[in-house]
Amino acid sequence: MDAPGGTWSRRSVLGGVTSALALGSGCLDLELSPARQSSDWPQRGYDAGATFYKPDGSPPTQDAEIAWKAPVSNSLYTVIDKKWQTDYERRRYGDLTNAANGGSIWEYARTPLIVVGDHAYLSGGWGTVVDLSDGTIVETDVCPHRTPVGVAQTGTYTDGTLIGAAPRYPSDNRNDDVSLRGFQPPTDGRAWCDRPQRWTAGAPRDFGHTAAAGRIEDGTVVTVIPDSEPPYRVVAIDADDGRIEWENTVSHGIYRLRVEDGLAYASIADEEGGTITILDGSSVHQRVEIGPTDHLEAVRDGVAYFRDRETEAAAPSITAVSAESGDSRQLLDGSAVSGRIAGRPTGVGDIVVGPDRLFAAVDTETGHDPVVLALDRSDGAIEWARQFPGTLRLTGTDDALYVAGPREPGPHAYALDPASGDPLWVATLPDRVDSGIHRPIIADSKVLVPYGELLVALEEP
Amino acid sequence: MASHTPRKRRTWRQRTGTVAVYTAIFTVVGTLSFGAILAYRRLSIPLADRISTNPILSVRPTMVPVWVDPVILEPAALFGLYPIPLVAAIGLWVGSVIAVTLGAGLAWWWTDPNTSARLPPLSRLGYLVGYAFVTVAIVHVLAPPLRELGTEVSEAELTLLIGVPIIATLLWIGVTLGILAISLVSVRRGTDASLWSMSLSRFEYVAIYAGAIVVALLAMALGSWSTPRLAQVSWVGIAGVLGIVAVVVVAGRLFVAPVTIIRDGRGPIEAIRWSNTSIANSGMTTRTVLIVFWVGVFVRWAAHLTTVASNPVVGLALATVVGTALVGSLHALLMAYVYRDVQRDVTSRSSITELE
Repeated sequence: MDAPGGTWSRRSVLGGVTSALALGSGCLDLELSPARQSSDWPQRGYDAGATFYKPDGSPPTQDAEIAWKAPVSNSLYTVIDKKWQTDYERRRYGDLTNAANGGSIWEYARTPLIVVGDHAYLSGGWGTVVDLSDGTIVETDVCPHRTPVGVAQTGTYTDGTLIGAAPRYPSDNRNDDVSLRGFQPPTDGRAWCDRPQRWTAGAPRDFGHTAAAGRIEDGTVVTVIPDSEPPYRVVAIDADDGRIEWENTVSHGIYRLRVEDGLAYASIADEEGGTITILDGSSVHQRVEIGPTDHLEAVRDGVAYFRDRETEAAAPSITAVSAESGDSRQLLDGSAVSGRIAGRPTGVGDIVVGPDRLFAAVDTETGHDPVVLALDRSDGAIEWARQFPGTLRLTGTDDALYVAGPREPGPHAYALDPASGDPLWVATLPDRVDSGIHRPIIADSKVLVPYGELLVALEEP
Repeated sequence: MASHTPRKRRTWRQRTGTVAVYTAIFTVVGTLSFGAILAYRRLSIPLADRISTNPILSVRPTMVPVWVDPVILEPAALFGLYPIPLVAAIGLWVGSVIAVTLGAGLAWWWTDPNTSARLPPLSRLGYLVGYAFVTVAIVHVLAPPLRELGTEVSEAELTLLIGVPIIATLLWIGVTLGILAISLVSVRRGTDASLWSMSLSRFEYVAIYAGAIVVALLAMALGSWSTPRLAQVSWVGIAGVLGIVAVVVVAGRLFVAPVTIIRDGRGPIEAIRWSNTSIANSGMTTRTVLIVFWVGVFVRWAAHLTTVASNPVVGLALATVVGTALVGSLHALLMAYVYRDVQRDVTSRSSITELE
């Protein structure tokens, strides 16, 4: 066909356009980015299994001093970081599948503190960004319509994606269509309120809403679709573009969700009994009955760890369920601890799961100090036990177990030798608080302890 | 009196053939666009959901035919992309715009009874693609912030915004008829001249008087509205809505510019001038503005076809391919028909001018 500029045909026009599209759709397999920094604490519990165990970084092990303290809002910690919740509180604030509680979940299922690069991002009554180098408050902003869940690595973005929960419209006060959304991560320490949104989870299938919580692993966010009745959908969302990578269903409500190696661990524990379903996109691997007071805390190396408190029928315990076999075994029998400590155990609190050891805070009857236990993960043998006054909050590394607790005459932080339980150092924290000391987190060379209305950084002198 | 060559009436077979050409072309365009969506998903580039918003409140006016896109690439998704996905994302968007524009251009060319060449000159297609890029980009940039402003408007305010003109029009018609009725009664009683001999200017006076009465009534009604309520009105939101309306009106006046670029070989600037003037002079502004608005709504509505199928990929294919075949064809056909009417009007005007 003759035409100005050359000879071309109808077929060549269409063929050219098609080729251009095909060229653009070529396979691109980029490495996940950004590369993890030793300061990062990307989500609650550090990893998708919520082990509260971080091998990276160089936090203080010989001695510690206060590097800085920053005034922040830790108000939401008091709800989500509570060790014990009543059935009402658990159902109201913890049931990820309860569609009727959308607003409440939205309000309280927040991740209060994440660390990305050189900044700590806190959400509470107000959102605060703290410069890790000197504790300077970079920005304080009331951010009621958006809440961070964590930071995910991505394959197509150089800066990763900030995973947050938000209603469709910022002005929507009903919060009945809250979904996980992908945002451009904060830069230069700016808060997430004004960062552009990249995607909505599940678009274009339009879930309506997702739970305002999720676990992030290797560029994938696993979350739950609330509904009026079972089966409930567990979905894995690609952190690059928000599309569904896989989905499956469970036949029970979900109070706790953990993820490891692409497997989702979804559990419920209420008065009618407990169940954990271990699944991925292709199948349900295990469905195991657990106790009505067993709360899923952490997952590591294919084993899910549950803690419970004393009941009329049994002493408190730690139970482990294998994803491979579905076998359930009691790792810790509270009654067996009685001989090694002063006082009778009444409940298991924080759990830290390391590669070889599991550390647990165990409450005791009134009049006796709570205890920190180190257990051999393979057989549950108690390696050491050490009692401290006050409520104990735990986080672990290869070189130390960090303990925060309000001891008379005020809050203290400790570092213990993970092998022996011997104290490495003790630091007195400023400003006495009556309650609300929360789990420490590790940010490169610092241990950050949130409590009261403060964030305190400890580092090697 | 100008002598026109009698227009040869087209047979149903010819009309059906024309529709078939448009549908076939836009089916191909829809398929290419669906391929682009799949490519975006393969590249893990996020696309924003467009089906969860109200098609009327989020209407995006277009000045060239577009494909039905249940999902859309938002500029915010481009920041932070690696270079290769960034180039691919922009390339796919550019490719889709080129495909749909070329499709429309070819449809107009192949259905033009005055052309015999199988393909239009390359320059005309180039002008058309350039025109499409500029107008699509302008609307792409303008519409989201205007719509964002528009979300500030509450439903009550939107009702007021739409309701007041409707009520005012009805009132105006009512008052005009009332005045005319009184005039009729007075004529029958022999107290005035015959109504039917009333000159056009007197009718216009009646209409103006009626309009003044309506404005006064509305002013009184709004004045009696409590001041705090008025203070709550989101003027920013209303400005956003009015901004969208302005874009729709401009798009209406430029409605036939793309067709004249292809069929008459006008350059983009000349085509814009010609379309604006011709539509204004031929009194078709209302018609083209309404077409632009409803095509914008129809495009958004067609995106909901994605919910018909339970499989998301099938749903996307259905909305994009079938939706584009329907809405794209309709849009391009309407542009061609309005162009034909405008062209005829222009021709007759020029003939009258020549006679004078």
